[in-house]
Amino acid sequence: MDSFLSNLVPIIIVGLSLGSLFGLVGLAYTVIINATQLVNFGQGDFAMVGVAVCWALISKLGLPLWVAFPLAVVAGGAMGFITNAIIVTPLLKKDVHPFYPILGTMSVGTIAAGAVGIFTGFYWMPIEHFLGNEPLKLGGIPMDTQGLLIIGTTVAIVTVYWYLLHKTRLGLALRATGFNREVSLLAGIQVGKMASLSFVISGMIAAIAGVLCAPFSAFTATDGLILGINGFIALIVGGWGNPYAAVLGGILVGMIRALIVGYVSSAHAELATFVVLMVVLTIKPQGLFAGFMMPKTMNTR
Amino acid sequence: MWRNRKRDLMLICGVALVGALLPLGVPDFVRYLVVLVSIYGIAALGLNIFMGYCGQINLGSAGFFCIGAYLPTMLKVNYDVRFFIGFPLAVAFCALIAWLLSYPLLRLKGHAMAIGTLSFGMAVFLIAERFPSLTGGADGITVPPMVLFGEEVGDTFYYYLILVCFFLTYLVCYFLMSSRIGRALKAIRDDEDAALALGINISQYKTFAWVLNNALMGLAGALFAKQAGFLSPSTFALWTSISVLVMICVGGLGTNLGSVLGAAIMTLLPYILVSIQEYIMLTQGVILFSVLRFMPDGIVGTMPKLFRCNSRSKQVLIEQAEQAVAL
Repeated sequence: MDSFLSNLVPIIIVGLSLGSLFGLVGLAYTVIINATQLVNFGQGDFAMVGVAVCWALISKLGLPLWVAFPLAVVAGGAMGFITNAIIVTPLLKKDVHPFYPILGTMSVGTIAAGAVGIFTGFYWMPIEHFLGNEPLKLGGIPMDTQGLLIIGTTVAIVTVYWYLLHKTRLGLALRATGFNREVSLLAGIQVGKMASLSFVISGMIAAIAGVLCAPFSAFTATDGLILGINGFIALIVGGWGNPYAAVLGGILVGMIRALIVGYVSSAHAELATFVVLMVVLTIKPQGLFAGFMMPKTMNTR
Repeated sequence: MWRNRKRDLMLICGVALVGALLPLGVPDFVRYLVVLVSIYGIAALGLNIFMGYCGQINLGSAGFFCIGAYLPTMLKVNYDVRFFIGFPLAVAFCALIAWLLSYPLLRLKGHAMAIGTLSFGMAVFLIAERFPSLTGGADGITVPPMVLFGEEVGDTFYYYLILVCFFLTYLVCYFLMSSRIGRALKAIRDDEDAALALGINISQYKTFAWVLNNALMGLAGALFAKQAGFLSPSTFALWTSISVLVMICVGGLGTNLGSVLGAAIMTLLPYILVSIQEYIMLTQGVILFSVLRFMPDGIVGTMPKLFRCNSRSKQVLIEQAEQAVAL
């Protein structure tokens, strides 16, 4: 029993940091969903592009992390902008199967993964721990600094996003676009620009998540997809179209995963994630926290 | 309509005849490619029923492909069940699982269905990888040789087996999709509410398309196991679902011919690019991108537009007439 309790705190920290990571990616999906009602299947690859740029700048050009990280985030944003400009907007203008724009984002992601893969030979793109490998001792319990950094960053990003969405005119325009495209157009909101902006924001958040995650696990060109899937699971478990619910869902999934890795076995952890997803989809398809922090009129969809 | 059908059947018979005579005069490598194209053709035809005709989303087809490949192999390895019993069992088992899964999955729409099916595919992949006692684990497993009447089955017999399976599948898809069932599925794709209003039992037809799709996936998987000779879970990762999806998009969603053409193009592509193995992922991405961006109807949907200028100008005339009426 004693070892159970002494293990519990580090496991919870790991779960929180893993969950925040998934939640961040889920949030990145939700930014696009709220403005365009589209799922961006290239989201994980946006994160992967961020990691690749950061890794290339550090290991090839010898730049310090605090220069490379912002540039990687800019690269993620650029990926978002490009994806929207070259395939999503043109496809939305045509009368095609509604799944086509989603496939389009997937194709851009695949191209990015393939291109980075050729560049790196599909090998790892290692990035050092941001604050050194030495764990932080808090009350005798060792904690991974990277994990704490992820949790802190997630809180910061969610706060900034909340401020942007609810306290600025731009946020009002973004919310209105997602709520009703035609009426927003009538109200003089530049709907196309808002969609583009949502892709940029989403790409930046995904890149931050990717670079933060890279020191944890060896990232290869094809690993973006896995991060993307976990983020999407977070979003579905949390609640469709609600950014805060996506983060909560991510934390829930991350916690379950960390607890299973800690007390059962790592072999079953990923499987458990999918089982949780299936159960949530069966029992409550709209997500566990669908109404969390959302005004009544917004969560009817 | 009927004349078209006659022409199509002649075409199918012609291709089947060429396929049947092929082993006589070509190198083994070509035969191997024909087998691969047929296997992926079956898979693409199956997925096309659910996605192209019924308009739903299935990203978990690799899961059923995996079950179809592993079940007969494991039955043979562990219980010495013959392949000829294992094959139908695998197809039936896939159909059964699909039917059971249809209750939670087919209630979902759009994105939720996409992630639901995708998660099933991932779960099967993880089971194959993480439970070595059940499947041989990440190291993979060698498929034992196929035995018929006490003798090991030769390549030629196997070639004909696959060819027969492929043409039967094509014929079934062809007749089914031009029948009442096919029309009902198309109606569901085009407008679910309108289909409901016409008295089409939507959930029943969706379940039918889903079960048929995944049973065919299982069949393709079972045939693939023997062909590959060695199974490893990485073959059945998410990427397999996506590449079958790319096949039907390249050929043209909602056309049987397109599925087979797409399967042929996407299967043969790696062999054309065999010297630059690393470029395959990029190439597949570029192909998917170009098809979506420049010819969203796929090859089969776009070709008539390119070659028959008449019908196009006719369409312009019709549009002008409609506009005139509207004014």
